[in-house]
Amino acid sequence: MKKETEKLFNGITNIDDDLIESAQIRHESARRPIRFMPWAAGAAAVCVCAAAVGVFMLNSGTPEIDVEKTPVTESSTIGTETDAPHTGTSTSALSDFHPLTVTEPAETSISEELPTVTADTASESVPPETTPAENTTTVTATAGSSAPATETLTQPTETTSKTSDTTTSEATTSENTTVSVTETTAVTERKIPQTSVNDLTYLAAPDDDAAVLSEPSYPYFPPYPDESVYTNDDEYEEVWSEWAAVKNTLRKPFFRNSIRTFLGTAENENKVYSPLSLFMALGMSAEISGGYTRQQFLDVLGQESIEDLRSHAKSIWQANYSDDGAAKCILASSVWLSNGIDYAAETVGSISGNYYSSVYSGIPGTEEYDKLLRDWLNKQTDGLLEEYASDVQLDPATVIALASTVNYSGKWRDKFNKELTKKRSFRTPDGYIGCDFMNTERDMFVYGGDHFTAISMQLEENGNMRLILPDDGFTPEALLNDEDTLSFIMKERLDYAEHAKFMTVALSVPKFDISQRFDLTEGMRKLGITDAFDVSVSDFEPLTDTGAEISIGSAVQAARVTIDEDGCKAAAFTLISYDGALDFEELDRIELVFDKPFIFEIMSETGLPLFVGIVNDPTE
Amino acid sequence: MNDNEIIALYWSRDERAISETDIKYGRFCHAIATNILSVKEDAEECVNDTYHKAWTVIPPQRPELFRAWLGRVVRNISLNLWNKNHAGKRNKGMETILSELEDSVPSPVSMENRIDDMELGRVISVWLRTLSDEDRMFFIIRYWNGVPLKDIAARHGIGADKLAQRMLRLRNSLRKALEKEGISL
Repeated sequence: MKKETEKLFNGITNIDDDLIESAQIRHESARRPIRFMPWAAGAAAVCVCAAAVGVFMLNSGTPEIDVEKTPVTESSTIGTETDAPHTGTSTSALSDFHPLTVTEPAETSISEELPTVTADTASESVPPETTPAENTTTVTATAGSSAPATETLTQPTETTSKTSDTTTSEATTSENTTVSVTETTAVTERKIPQTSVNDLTYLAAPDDDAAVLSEPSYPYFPPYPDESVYTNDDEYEEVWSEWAAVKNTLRKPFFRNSIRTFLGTAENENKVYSPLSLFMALGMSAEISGGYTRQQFLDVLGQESIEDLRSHAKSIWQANYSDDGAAKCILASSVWLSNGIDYAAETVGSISGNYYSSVYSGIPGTEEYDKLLRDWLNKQTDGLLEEYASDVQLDPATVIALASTVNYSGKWRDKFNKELTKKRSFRTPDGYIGCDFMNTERDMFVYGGDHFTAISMQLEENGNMRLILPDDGFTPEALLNDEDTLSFIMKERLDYAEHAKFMTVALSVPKFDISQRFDLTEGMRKLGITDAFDVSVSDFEPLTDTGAEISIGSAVQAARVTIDEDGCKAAAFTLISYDGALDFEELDRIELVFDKPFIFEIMSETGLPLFVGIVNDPTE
Repeated sequence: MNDNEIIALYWSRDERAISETDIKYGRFCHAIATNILSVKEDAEECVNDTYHKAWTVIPPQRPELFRAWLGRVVRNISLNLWNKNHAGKRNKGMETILSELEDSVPSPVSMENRIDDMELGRVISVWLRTLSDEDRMFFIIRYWNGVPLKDIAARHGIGADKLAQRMLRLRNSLRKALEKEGISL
């Protein structure tokens, strides 16, 4: 055996130089152990729960919330009207809609709690009789004399009957929200097999205007294949290998092409785009399409087969999920069906199972169904995109709508001192403006690209934000059409180590809060998705065999990114609707001021670009 | 002095090339040699031989990444010395590394698939590129630099046991990757 191991040793000796160099730099730059700081968890919980849109959510003035007492599900933190309004739906809107009471088991896992139906007045109660295994979710909408949308979902295998206790609880909750419950309307019960929506034997739509057909049963996942939770090597190996393959796949065409397509065109605007959110929405689109229509989705996503796509989508979800109180990165998705259409259960089940999607059914074009969709979007994005979600509507001709969200927050590993934040000038494409700059001086790597200078700021246990400052004479948009810059953004090149220098940086970065909603259709066409827009050639037979002529009616993405002295918070939704260290030497010091348009990128802990954007005006 | 300037000294046959190399990379080379040989005097000898080799082969060579190039030379020289000496001495550093690497030795396939060290290095590089940045760094620092596990764990603020478990899985992963390529050692 010794001969073989020596041979292996010699083989390792001859690995590529750039790998060696990168490893040395990374190893040497690790100067401090990363510790978990209890105070960070408390503060981060505030990020999750604080509600006021337009206010930085990470500031220290936000009241602290005891993490131990705060279940991960956001809806559980939405309490009475006296609490901060969560997803931002105005209180006055309450009278227009039916309050929902969500009753969940006490011991459900984190992931099981995530997809609960959201409502502006939702509250949580824990029925003592309910065991975790029963996984009973009761959604009851009540209203006055207006048309009710009432649905009770039961997921245990035994039939569950509605009890008077539950009704009492609902009444109490409703009182807290100052909405008077005058009447409980007819309740329909639907049994859904507990195992998985793949087992759904029917998808005949209910008569209600808006109802949830199924919710995903999220398994518990670590944020990255964490070897410490696996006792079996082969099991870990499988998850890990899968993730490695996915990451390499994603570095290929889709992320690179889509970033260039969606950000590299129009100039002088703030832009923010989430490749990951679009990936998921297009992945679900591939599920409902067939023939060449599906092939186009697969080609754009860089996937060889639908099986590969399913497996990769699942891995992405698993690898990027984190919500430990200090760092948060949550992907969610949902499917919105239309009453009166029979869908192929297998197709909807596949989306639900592979994308952890909630499945809803209702009448597109009704206020109730639109509200359910808006509430879902707001909940999954912590209300950060309420401005854009508020006018989301489904066309009455909608056959199916697919939504995916990314919700991210993290704290800087090295926070900025608020006392050093100062006003200074930022050169927008239209002239100079004043804005708040966060200032610090720290030792860090500075990357020199062909036409840019870049730095990376670490977020605690949750990836990093990279800031890319174009050289004079180059705009961010022009850089995104430059191969060198795209390679840097995609982390495709390891030889950047050669161009990285560990330096003392006098850093000045503007605080910003930018958001954008944009139409995806033109970009999707440019990327190569064409058949899905054209009813004469589109193929959606896997979704329904009713012969309906289906094509993409609309496709939008909204995204928002904010940074301040403490950290970063970002969210995005995509809605596609279908109608019919080197320290050997004394460090050099540079001044790096991001006082002109620049590119930013939020990279997940696992190395995927979650958000990429351009800041042309930090004050917009 | 940057790498290009040092290499320019070699090319101009200026003896300051060696002292500048020692100033910049002496500690790095000593660490690798010591990790393999565990004996200071032997490590010193290897590092001196490395400088001598650099002086001999530059020019005509012009290493692009000088640190990696030097590390490879000192690694080879250290291994040769270890092979020469280890029959009579117990050498904890290298013995440990080799015993760990046994996990990564693929099952024998056939003689036809035997590859040389350079080709094996390329295959391992391909595998390394599939790893996360952190895993890749851990593997290289452990098995290329030879830094003891506990030192890596301490520097990166993770538990030594956890790191050991992670390394075990990386070694198993490498074995599977080599087997998948049908490689015999």
